[in-house]
Amino acid sequence: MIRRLPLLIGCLAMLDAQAMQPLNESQMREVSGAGVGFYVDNLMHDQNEAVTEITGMTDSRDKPVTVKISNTYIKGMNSNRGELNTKANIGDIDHPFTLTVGQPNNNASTPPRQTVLKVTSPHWSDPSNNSKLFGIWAYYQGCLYGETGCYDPTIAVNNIDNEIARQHQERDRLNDRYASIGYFGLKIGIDVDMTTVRYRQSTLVSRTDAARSAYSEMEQAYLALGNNTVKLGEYVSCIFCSTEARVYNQSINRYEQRVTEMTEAQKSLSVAWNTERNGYTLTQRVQDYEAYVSLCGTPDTANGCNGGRIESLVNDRKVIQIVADAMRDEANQNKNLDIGMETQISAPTVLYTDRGQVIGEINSTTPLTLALERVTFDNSYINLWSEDNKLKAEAGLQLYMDKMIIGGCNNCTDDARAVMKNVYVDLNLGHGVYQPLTIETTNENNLQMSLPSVTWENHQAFYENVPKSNIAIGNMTMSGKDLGSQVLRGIRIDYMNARTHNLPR
Amino acid sequence: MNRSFHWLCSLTLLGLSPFAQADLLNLEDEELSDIAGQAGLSLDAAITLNPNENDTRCPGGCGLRLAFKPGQSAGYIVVDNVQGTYSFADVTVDVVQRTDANSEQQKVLRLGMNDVQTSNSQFTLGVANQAIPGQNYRQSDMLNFKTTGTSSSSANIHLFPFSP
Repeated sequence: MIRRLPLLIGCLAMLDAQAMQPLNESQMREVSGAGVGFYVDNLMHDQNEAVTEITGMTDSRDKPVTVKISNTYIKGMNSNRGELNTKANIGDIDHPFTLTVGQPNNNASTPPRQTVLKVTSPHWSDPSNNSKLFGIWAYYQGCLYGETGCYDPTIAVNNIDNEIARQHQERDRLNDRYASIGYFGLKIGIDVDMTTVRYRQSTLVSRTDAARSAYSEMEQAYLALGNNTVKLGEYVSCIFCSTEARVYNQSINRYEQRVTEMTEAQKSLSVAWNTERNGYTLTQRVQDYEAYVSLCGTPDTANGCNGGRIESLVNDRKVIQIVADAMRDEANQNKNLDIGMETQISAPTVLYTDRGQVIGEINSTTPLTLALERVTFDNSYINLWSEDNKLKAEAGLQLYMDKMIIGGCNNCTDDARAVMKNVYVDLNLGHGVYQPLTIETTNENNLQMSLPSVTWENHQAFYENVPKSNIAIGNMTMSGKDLGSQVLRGIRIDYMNARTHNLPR
Repeated sequence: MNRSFHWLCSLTLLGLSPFAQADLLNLEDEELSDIAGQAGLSLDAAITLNPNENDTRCPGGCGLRLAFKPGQSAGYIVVDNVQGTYSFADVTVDVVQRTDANSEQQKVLRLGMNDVQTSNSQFTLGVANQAIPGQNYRQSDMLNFKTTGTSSSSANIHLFPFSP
């Protein structure tokens, strides 16, 4: 009876529920924003011997492509690539996934006056678990912490110090070069010389246009001549010339004259770029000025260095020091997921002779394996709402992993694969106000996802607010060759319209 | 979900009916609160989704079909022809206490799935112009997923009310 009791209580609650009164609007407002929190432990998934086959895709010639997926696993860390049944935890009572429906309150990016369905992943603010902070440290650390030669968390601090020193050196070199005039003086000189450059540039543009139209006049005259014994641009030699031949020969004269004028304009522009002041050409001075702005930001009266790359490096150094201290104190870390899969992609391949003739077609199978070690999700989200009768969304995925291994072979070691260590991924799609992602189905039964493009009216706010995507890899080796650290920073989609394409069945 | 719960409840109430009244009358509020939080509920279940042979859209009949309409779009996103056996052994439902960062006790509903086996499952992801196939029905299949064999999973899902 006791075992049945919860069910009975549930049923009684349901009987009671039928007599519930509808909530009025003011009551609704009070519950707005409430939701469900959840976290998962004891998590394990193993595909065992099962094989999943995905069909329905075609290649560019409409031939079927089949993907077979096997050995998929989601397990706890140290699973030895899925061989051991270790269990994973994602989140805890203080860092849950959340599912909420309500008015957006803190998230400025969700559109105002909309009811939003929000799903968020666990989010940590401490330096050893916040994937953004930890990702910055791991990128400069390069090597995987805890592996041979990588027991010292301050390697990252030394690396960024060296980088800062290099940038300081570059700044000092520029400072010395223009010490007598300062950056304001440098800018004034550039502005004056650029007036000449701009004038000569516009001359060059108009003379280029003139040469181009002279060329097409010559072409027309050549066609009207209808003489194949001379090439275009060669004079027709004649004593009693026809009108067409005379017009053609004159058009060559004019064209050559225009080309000479254009070349002169090019030369004088080049002279303008070579104007020397303070011992340096205008080209060099512009380069130096731009290099300084990128290092230090736009110069102020004190020639201080209060922006640009140096400032962002100095800010990163503060983060790196905090994370390094936490790592030295053996801070608890939550990255504990191992994920992996093996795929076989079968697609028809056309065989050609060395002369490019088709001799046949075979079905080739390419293996592609993926293993992720010690993954953590942090601060990821998806917001869904309805606007203009369409489903809109914005989403962000932030994750950090110790290792990502991509292979193109089944029975091989990591020496033959691409091995990435200290991988930080921050992908963002859409923005509630400036670039909502629209998901819809079309009349032709296709699925369409689109992002509106930036407009002249919103471009400033767009570039300030729409989140960019970043990927940073501390160290990458491919087939045993060390490729060092890799970073993709500030990727942003200006416009997207992705649509499936299929034949109705 | 809701319908199956209704069905389960009707059956439970029906099964208990000969002695249900006496039991219900005897349980006082205080007694109920004494019992709450104990052993919880444990159950085993297996669901097999077989094809409906009368539905001739798919070879051998179609399995379960789910349709979603994103906003006021022209059509539906469908998860069609879902088949397979999903067995849940030793599923536990319990309320447990957890201590949060503020050292406060929180009651959490724990759904324990200790051994979930999925066998020979399949489904098709597509876009259709109608939720339930009728006259002038058209559907474009995007991807077909078909698994041969059995995969296993486990997870404890902890649920609690959350206000941002």
